[in-house]
Amino acid sequence: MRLLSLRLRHFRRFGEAVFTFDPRLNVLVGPNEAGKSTLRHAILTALFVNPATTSKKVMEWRPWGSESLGSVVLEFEVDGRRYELRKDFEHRRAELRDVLHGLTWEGTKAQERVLQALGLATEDLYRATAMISQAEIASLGVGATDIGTRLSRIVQAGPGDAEAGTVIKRLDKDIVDLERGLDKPAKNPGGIKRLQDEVAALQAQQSDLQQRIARLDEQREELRRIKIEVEAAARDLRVQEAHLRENQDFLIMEQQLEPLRVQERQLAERLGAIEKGYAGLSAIRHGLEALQAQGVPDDAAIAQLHTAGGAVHNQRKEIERQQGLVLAEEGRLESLSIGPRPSLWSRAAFPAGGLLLLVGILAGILGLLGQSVAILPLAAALLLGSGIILVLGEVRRRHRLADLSHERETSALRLEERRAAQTAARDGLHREEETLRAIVATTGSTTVDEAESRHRRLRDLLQEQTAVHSQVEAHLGTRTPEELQAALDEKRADVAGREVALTRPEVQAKRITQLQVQQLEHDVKDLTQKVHRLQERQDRLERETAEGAPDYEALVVLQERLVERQEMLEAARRRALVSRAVREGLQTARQDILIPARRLVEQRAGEYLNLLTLGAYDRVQIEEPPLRVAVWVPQANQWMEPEEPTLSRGTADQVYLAVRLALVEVLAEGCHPPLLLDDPFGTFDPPRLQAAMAMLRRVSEVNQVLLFTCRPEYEPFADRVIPLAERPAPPEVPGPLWQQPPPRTH
Amino acid sequence: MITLLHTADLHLGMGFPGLGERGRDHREQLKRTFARIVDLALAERVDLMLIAGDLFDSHHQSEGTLTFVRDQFLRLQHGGIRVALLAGNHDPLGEGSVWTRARFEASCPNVTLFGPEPQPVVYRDLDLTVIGQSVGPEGPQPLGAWPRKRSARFAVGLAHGSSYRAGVVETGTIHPADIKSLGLDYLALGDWHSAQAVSGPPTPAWYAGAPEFLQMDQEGGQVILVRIPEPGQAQVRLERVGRRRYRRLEVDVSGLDADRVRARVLAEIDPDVVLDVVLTGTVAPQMLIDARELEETIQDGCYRARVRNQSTVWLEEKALEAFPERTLVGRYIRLMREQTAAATPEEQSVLQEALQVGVALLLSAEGG
Repeated sequence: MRLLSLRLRHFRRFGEAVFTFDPRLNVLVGPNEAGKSTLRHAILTALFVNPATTSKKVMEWRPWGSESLGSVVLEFEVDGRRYELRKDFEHRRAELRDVLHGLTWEGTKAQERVLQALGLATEDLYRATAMISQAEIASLGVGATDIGTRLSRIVQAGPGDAEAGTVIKRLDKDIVDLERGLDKPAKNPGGIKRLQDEVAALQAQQSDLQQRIARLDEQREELRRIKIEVEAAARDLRVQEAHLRENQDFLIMEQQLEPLRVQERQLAERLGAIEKGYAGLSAIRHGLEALQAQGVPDDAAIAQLHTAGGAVHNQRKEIERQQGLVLAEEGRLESLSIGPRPSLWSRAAFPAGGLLLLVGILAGILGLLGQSVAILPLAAALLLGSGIILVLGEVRRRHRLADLSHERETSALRLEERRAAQTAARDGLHREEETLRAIVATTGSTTVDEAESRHRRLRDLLQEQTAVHSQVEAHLGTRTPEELQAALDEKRADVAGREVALTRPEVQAKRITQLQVQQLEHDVKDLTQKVHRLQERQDRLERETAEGAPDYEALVVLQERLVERQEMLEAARRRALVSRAVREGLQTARQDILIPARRLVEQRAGEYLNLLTLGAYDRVQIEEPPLRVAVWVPQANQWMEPEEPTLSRGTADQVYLAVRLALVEVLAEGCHPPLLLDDPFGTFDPPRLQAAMAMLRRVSEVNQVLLFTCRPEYEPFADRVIPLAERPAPPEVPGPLWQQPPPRTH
Repeated sequence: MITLLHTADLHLGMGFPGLGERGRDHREQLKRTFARIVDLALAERVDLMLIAGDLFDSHHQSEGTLTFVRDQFLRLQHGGIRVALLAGNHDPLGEGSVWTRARFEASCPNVTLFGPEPQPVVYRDLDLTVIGQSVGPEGPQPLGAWPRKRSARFAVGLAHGSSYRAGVVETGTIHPADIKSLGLDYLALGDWHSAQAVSGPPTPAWYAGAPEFLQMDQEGGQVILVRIPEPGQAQVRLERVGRRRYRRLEVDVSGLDADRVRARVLAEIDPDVVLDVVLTGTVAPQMLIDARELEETIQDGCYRARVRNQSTVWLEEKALEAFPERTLVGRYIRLMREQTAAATPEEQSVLQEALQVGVALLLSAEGG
């Protein structure tokens, strides 16, 4: 940037002023209070101050006695293009105009373009580098922070720092967008976390679906197996059931055979009994016929016989009874005939009794009368008693003897009667016997017994005939013997047929024992239960599998999505990895680039110092931070800080001047801001001054130099000397200084 | 003379993770392609269709798919064409396998499913013995145990497994020496998805390849029609049946800018093409190609597109003259070049991509 002119209006001491500059080295010379500082300040204001500012400092720029704020118009040239910068502090407006192309920028945009052209973004940075005053030459402190920041951020010849920062920011954002939520929960997780979650969810779904499908597959496979098992078991069951049924039939046949045999035997026995009955009846008939031929008393004859026999019997019994009565009467009579004979005692009993009575009565009287002895009453009683007994006994005996005599007479009479009765009975017996014999004779028998025997025989035969006939009838029942015989024949054929059936070889081959049949029954039962169980299981599986076939398509789609998400996850991870590698690479590259920037400052500072010191010093070292400057002192063979007393003040100022110029060159990044120098070389002796000005001339080929001084010794080196009067007269300015900006803006 | 149609590796029911929503459609396409093969067999009036394994991608097949296959077999039966069928390594025989559910041989009398042991089946009317061996629970088996005796004039084999490759150890490898010693008039192979011969006359052995696109890097889409006029004189003809084609396009991007690369790739797009673009060559840092952007550009024009950037950045000093080391880009390029040289192969891949991404970002930032 090269300043071409500066027009001031109402800026501090300048009412209206115009300054024109040479593109190279300008020496602005004037005494103190001539306005050098104001002009320097006006240039800084034109470059850096925003007219829209509300700072009260702006008010200090008003000319003395003026109420209104002024304006500045700076013309400058950058890369061959001319610009006009207008700042109107009264109207708080800024405008930059490309003079040749007619482009205009306003406000902050205008300011941005100016700073871009200047290459130093802040006033502080500019003051710390491109503005050099004698008092501040050794001080980088004003802009040390800016310089350090600038140095650490500067990237030479590549994309600007802002772009590099943008790239890294973008990478940071990409990485964060990818990795957010990986180390801690996040409300809005990043791409990798989202994909991880999605993959996990899909894997869970896949696992679930696989399990369901596996279960359905197992069920279907089991169903298929069970169907085969059911078929096989049902087939076995049918075979075993048939085998069992056959053997059960055999057993039933066998069990039925025994009663058939019994029936056969019974029928045979019945027929035998019937035949025997018929034979018996025949014999009975013969017996009856023979008996009939002999003659058989009938029941009336037998009754007569019995009556006659009974009468005979009764007569005989009567005879026996009469006999007994006769004998008994005879015995009685005989016993009565014997009778009792009178004894002495019996003869004496009566007198003795009378005597005793008398004595007793006497004794009694005496006892009543006598009072002699007490025993007399007692003896009287005894005597009276004995006398009574004796008298009564004798009376009774005599009475009995009279009765006995009477009885003897009666008994004799009765004996006679008995004997007569006996004789009558014997007569009756003879008569009855005669009757009996006559009846027997009518029966054709000789004796009653014989008649009775024949009658009994007849009766027995008839009874037997009846019994046998009944038996035969019972055996026959409702059937005829022929029918029975036919039934027997049929039964025999049935039994024989069954026996033959059971003994056939094929039946024998199938036949099993009773125990085996029982076992087979168990087996069939078990098998039936098994078939039932299997069918139940089959039904259940059919129900379960009928609910829906396995959704293989869903599984495949899920697997596709899972693989896709896994690939996306891998891609995202790789993208994060690549982004990290890019970011780390860029950061390292930036770090690497910083060192050349500092070294460039050191290199350029060394070159400047070499020119300034005429080869006495040529190596400068800058340690940043904190931007501590060191110079290589060949005499001491070491790095030393440029300060007294190590080095002279002049040498130290030369070092700092060299560093500042180098910083301007490096920090401006290809831009060339004008240098504002305020009488900087006051400490230099003439040779140093000569060298410094010679160097400034070289510098001015790149960076315009505006050197403010009150001394004339700089003038010979100037391309233009701009004298500043103590009170410069306001120039004649046609028309208003401020003109309305053209309508075209950027 | 006998005529055969040899196919394999239908992989019905397969998943296609790269196709997104179109995976389901492509599964249906596999069925359509199978029906097309049946159409071809009927049109060519072949005597026998040989399916050398992996008819199904897995045992997880819907009843609909099984019914579809059964219907196709019945179509062949109505055309008087028999089918000799193997289970492959994706659908091996065994308990719970798709074959126990499908039981094609029960419903389709023209279908013979070979067991896991070598098994000769004689077609008397064709005077042909077909020897086949399905893949069982033990996996693919070599041909060493196959019977040598023939009871018919023609002899054809049917096997599923990987053919011998030097340096590769695989189960049940089919060795060319076994193929020759068997003396078959034709050996129909399955397992590899690209059609190719592994043995020439007089004992030719071919992989039919997948008749429809299945995966990247596999050139399928065909079946083989085999005519055997006399024993030992098999004539092989490949017939295209697949709808979708895999196309690998290598583009050397050296010296080409992004527009020219895009134009080259766009010339190849087709709705039924699975386009696999590989960018190769060496590219200057300022002419890097954004493979992802290119892939997005062509994705809609193809059935599926993949762009892989295998180009390398020209990192010689001459190429880097435009990027002095004191510049950030220059320093970054050199730094990544150094790091890549010292990195493990896995890291190298990341660093190479990081180099291209970083340079592209810096240059676009500079340009913006």
